[in-house]
Amino acid sequence: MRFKYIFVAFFAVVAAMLFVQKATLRTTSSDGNNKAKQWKKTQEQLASEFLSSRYSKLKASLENLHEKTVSKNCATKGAPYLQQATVDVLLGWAKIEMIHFGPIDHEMGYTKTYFWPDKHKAMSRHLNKLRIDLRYNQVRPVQELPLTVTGLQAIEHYVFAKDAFWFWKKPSHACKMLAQITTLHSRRIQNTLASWQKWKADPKQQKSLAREFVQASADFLEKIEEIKIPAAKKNPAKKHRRKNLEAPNAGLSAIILRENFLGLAELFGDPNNYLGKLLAKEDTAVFKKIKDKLAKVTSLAEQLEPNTDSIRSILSETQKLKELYLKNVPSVLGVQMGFNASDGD
Amino acid sequence: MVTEASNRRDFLTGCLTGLGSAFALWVAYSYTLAKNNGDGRLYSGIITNEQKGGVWSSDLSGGTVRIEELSSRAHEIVAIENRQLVLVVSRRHGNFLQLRKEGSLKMVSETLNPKGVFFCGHAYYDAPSDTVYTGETYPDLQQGGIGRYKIVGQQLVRMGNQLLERGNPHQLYFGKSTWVAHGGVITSPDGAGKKLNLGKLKSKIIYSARLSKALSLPQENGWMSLRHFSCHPQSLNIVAVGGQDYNPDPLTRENSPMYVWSYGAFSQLSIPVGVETGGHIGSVCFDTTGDFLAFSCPKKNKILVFKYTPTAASYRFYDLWNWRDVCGLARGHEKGIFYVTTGTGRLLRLDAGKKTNSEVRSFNFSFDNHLLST
Repeated sequence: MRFKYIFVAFFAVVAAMLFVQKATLRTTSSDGNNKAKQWKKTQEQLASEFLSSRYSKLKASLENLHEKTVSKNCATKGAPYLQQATVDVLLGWAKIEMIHFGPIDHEMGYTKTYFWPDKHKAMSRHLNKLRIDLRYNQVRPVQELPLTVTGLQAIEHYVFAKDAFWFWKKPSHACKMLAQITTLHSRRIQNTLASWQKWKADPKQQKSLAREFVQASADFLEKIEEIKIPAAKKNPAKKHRRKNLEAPNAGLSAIILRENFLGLAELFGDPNNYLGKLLAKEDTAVFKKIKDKLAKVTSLAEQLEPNTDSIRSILSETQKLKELYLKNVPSVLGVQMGFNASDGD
Repeated sequence: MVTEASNRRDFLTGCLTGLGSAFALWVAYSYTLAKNNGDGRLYSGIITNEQKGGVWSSDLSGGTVRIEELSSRAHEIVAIENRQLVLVVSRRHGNFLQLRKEGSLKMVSETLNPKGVFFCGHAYYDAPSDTVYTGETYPDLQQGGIGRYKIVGQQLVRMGNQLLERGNPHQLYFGKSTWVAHGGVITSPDGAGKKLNLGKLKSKIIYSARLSKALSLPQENGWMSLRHFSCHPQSLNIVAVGGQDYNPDPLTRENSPMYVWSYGAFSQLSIPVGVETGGHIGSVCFDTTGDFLAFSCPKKNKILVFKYTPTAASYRFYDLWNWRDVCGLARGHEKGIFYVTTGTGRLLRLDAGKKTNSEVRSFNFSFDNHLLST
C-alpha cells in the first residue's frame, strides 16, 4: 500500500514541478501567438496559393526549357530555339524573386538560382574561364562550376548574348550542359516546393510567414530602388551601364521590373487576398495609398525607357512608395521590422 | 481502526517520500539545466514597442529576464565583473553612463556628459587600473577623443581625456594591449548625429597606448569606417575588424569589409562569390577558443563564421546563417558557441562547430546593436 502512495505522490509532484518550470520558461516566447492566430488564414493562403502557384509555374517553365535542351532541335537550331522558353523561366523567377527567405535561401539557393547584380565582374571572369576550359575540353561537371555560370542569369547569357558564340561551338555539348543546369534548378525548386508543403503541416512555424513577407517586401523595395532602377541609369560618360542591367541580352529589364511590382501589387493591393486583405481591414486609408502607389509604379515600369527622365520618374515614385510602405505597413500590421540594418552604427 | 491509522500513516509517509524524491529530482534537473546553459548572463540595449530605450538582461537560457527603461538608447553594455556591476553606455551623441547592478540592473549611479562632450556608444573597463575608457566626440572641435574615468565608491569620476585625429572613435580596448577603432566619421554639432565627412573618412585602427600609432587599410577607401573589432581570446597579436562602407552606390561598396590584423599583417578575409554583406558589419566576435570568428551583417540578414586553419595560419570562410536584422554577437562559454540577437527581438544560440542553432527565446521588443555575455 505504502509504495502505491509513494508512486502516486512522486509522479504527481514531478509532473507539477516540470509543468511549472516549462511554463515559466515559455511565458513570453508565446507573445506573438495571438497575432499569429489572427493571421492564420492569410498565412495559409500565402503558402498554399501565392508560394505554391508561383514556384509550380517556375518549375513547369524550367521543365519546358529542359525538354527543349534535350530535344534534337536544340543542337540543330541552336540558341534561338531556346529563347522563348528562357524568357518564360526568367519571368517565372521575376514573379517569385521577392521571396528571399525560407527554403529557397537554404545553402545559398537563392543566389545559386539567380546571381545578379554581378558586382565585381565575377560572372565575366568565370565565363572567360569556362570559355578557355571548353576550348581545351576540360569542363568540370555542372555541379562543380561556380554559381555565376550556372544560374538563370547565365542561361540568359548563353541563349541571348551575341558574344556567347563560343558556348555554341559544339552545339550538342552546349545543349547537354544547359540540360544539366536546368535539371539542377528544377530539383532546387522542387525541393523548395516540398519544403513549403511540409511547412504547411507544421503549426509551430506558421506564425512567422506573414511577418517574413512584410519584411522581405521592404527589402525587395530597397533592392529595386538601390540597384535595379539605378542599374539602368546612364553613367557620366553618357554610356549605358548595360552590363549592370538585368537580363540585358534578352532586353527584359523593364518587363522584369514590371513583374516585380505586379507581385507586390498582388500581395498588398488586393482587398480580398493575402496581405492586402489584412491591410484593408486594419487601415483602409493606408491600403488605398499603397494600392494607388503600386499601380503607379507598375504603369511607369511598363512604359520604362532607357532615358534619364523615365528612370528618374520611376525612381522617385519607388522612393515614395518605399517611404510610405515603411512608415505605415509594418506598424499597421504590427510587424517588428528591426533597425540594425539602417542604424549606421 | 488499526487499518485506517496504518493507511493514513502510509499515505503521509508516501506523500513525504514522493515529495522529497521529486524535490531532489527537480534540484538535479535544474542544476543540469543551469550547467548546460552555463551560469553566465546576457546584456543588451533594447528598443521597446513604444520606441523607448532600455537595458535588458537574462540568463543564458533566456529566463529570469530583467528590463529597465532608459532616457534614450544604450549602445554597448560593459561588464565590471570585480564589482558585480555593468556599465550602460548611451548611443552616439549620448549623454549618460550608468553603473547598474549585475543581473538585477538596479541603478547604482549615473554620470552625465560634461559640457561639449558626447559619448560615442562604446567604452572599456580595465580591471587592474580600475579605469573606464569611453569613446567621445567634441562637436565644437569637430574632433573625437578618449575619456578616462575612475570608479570611486560607486561613482564614475572623470580623470581627463585625450584628443584623437579628426573623426570619432568607436569600439575600444585598453587591456594588455590598446585598440581603438577610429571610425573617422565627423558628426554634426547640433547633436543630430548627421555624418559630415562621408567619402573623406580616414578610418584606421589605433594600436598604441599613447594613441599615436595606427594601421590604415591597405587600400584607401574614403567611405569605409572601421567601427568594430574583437580581440583574440588567447593572443594579444590577433584582432578581427569589421567595417561599414557608406558608399551610396551599393554596387561599388566593399562586399567583404572584414579584416584580421595578425602579428603585424593586415589581411582582408575573403568570402565566396554570391555571399552578400551589404558592406556593413554590425558586430565582430571570436569564440572562447579563438578558433571561430563571427561577423554579423544586418543589412543582408547574415552571420558569417570563419574558422582558423592552422595549415594556412589564417581564418577561412566556414559557414553562414540567415536571420533577419541580426546584429548582436557574444561568445558563449564553450568552443564554437555564440549568442546572437536580432532587431526583431530574437535571442539565438549558435553552435558553429556543430553547425546547429536554436532560438533561445523571442521577445516583443527590438534588441539594440550589441550583446554582452558574462
